[in-house]
Amino acid sequence: MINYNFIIIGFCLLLIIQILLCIAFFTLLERKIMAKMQRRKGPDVVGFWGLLQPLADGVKLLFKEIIFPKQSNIFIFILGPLITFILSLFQWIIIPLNFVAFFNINLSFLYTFALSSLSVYGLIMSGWASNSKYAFLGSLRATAQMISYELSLGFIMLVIVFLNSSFNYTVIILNQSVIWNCIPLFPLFIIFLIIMLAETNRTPFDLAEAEAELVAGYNVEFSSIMFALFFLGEYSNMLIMSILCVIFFLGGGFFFFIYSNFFFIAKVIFICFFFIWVRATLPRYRYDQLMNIGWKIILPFTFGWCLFIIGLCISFNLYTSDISVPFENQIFIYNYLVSRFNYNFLINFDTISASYLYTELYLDNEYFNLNSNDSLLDTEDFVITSNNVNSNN
Amino acid sequence: MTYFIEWNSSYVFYVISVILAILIFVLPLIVAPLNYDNEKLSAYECGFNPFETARITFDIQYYLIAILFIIFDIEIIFFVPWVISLKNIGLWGYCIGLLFIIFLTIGFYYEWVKGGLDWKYIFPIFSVSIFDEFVQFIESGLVILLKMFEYIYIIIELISIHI
Repeated sequence: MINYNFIIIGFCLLLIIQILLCIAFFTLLERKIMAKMQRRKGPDVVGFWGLLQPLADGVKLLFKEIIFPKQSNIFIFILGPLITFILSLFQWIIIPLNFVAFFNINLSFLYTFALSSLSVYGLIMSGWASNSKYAFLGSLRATAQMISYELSLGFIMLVIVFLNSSFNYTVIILNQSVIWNCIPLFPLFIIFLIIMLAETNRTPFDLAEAEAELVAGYNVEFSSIMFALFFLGEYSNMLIMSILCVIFFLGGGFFFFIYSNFFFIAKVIFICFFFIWVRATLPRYRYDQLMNIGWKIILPFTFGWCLFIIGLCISFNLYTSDISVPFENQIFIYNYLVSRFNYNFLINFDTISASYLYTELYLDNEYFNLNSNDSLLDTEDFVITSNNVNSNN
Repeated sequence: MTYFIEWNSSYVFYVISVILAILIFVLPLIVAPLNYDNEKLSAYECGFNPFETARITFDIQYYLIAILFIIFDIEIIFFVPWVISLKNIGLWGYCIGLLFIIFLTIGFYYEWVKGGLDWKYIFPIFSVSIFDEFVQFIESGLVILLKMFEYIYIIIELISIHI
């Protein structure tokens, strides 16, 4: 018999390794695309077509000397990059990479929101503790920018939560099987793309690390692997933001009623490409312009649009039901899930609202008596209790 | 086949990622050479010796932004249960939520009018008397309140037609 704990540890390790590889090749993608857009070659020496470049960079950074500046507060100085890296890793476990998240909870939205707020602390600590003027100013700027754009992000998320009446990302994806959210919520989609850039401190909002004024922002004093931790954290945040954009607005893996992980990955890569594309195209904003856009244009607009949509739904009595997916699609999705993922394995049904949807399907006997001719559902296979889970192990 | 794991055992992921981060941090301390000298350890200031402490004063605007952020963040957290239970609490709950929004909007408008959101604003000290300030605030607030009540009236009318 396989020990249950070893399975968990093994899959957690696999997930982390996959995340790190993903980030590494994202940096390579960025360098390659930037090079092509500026008519250069980009990295093409290490490995075939430069494919091993990020690994080589990582090994180089590993063998560099770590420097703790004389006047720094060493404990906080060490804690800064560690917190940035660890918090960015924590965000991955509720991302539905394979239609259902690795750890599926009801409150995924709140989880993401809390962790993205906490990640500001990494910047503040590193900027303050390194006791350098550039680092201090850079961290101040980055903090003010991130917190002011986080509000608009929260309001956009509220609209989506209202429309789906669920916090779970799997349910949000399911409800978009008919139409992607980016069509009815078009202006919010554009604003989400802008906020995405501002939240991750990317061009045209990369004022925290403006090379001309502040040398590298809050990570001036960091060398070797501590810099690498910051780097990994930032790029992981970028990947997470692009995945959230796909989940909220581009329908997850749905493409005309068909769910496939291929579509999901293709959309995520497109949004990642958008990040790089913007970086190669646009110049940098001025800081007061940035804050004006954030507080005087984007925040009132998202706030008003959020209330507009909620008021619209209420005045026309359009309360969202728990299941807004057509029944044929539900059957399709259910069959897909049962064939693709063994649903009798390792599921705690008390904590999963997405799968609650399917139990409801199964328990709704009247519905099945009416449609008894089409035997799409084999009901006897689909009894899942906690006892069943234990017996599988 | 994919595996799903119960939330109870999620601490495994947390523990593993923390251990991994610490391992990554400790490795170069063992592997890499450590040759410190005085110049390396001083704070970077474009090649010059740092001539001042880095614990400098900073613009009050950052502080204001942080305070405003706290208010709005609390607002979002208050909205989360409101938004998810709107179909249960009905029209009454919706109107109560609107009241809350109105008060916050007045505060936000006041901040805007007073220039708290302008980035290069210098605060006028003693230039405006407290009475004038009060009158200005009440006026701007009253205008907003009247408009808000108009809109609410329209919304309630719309809903009553549908009911």
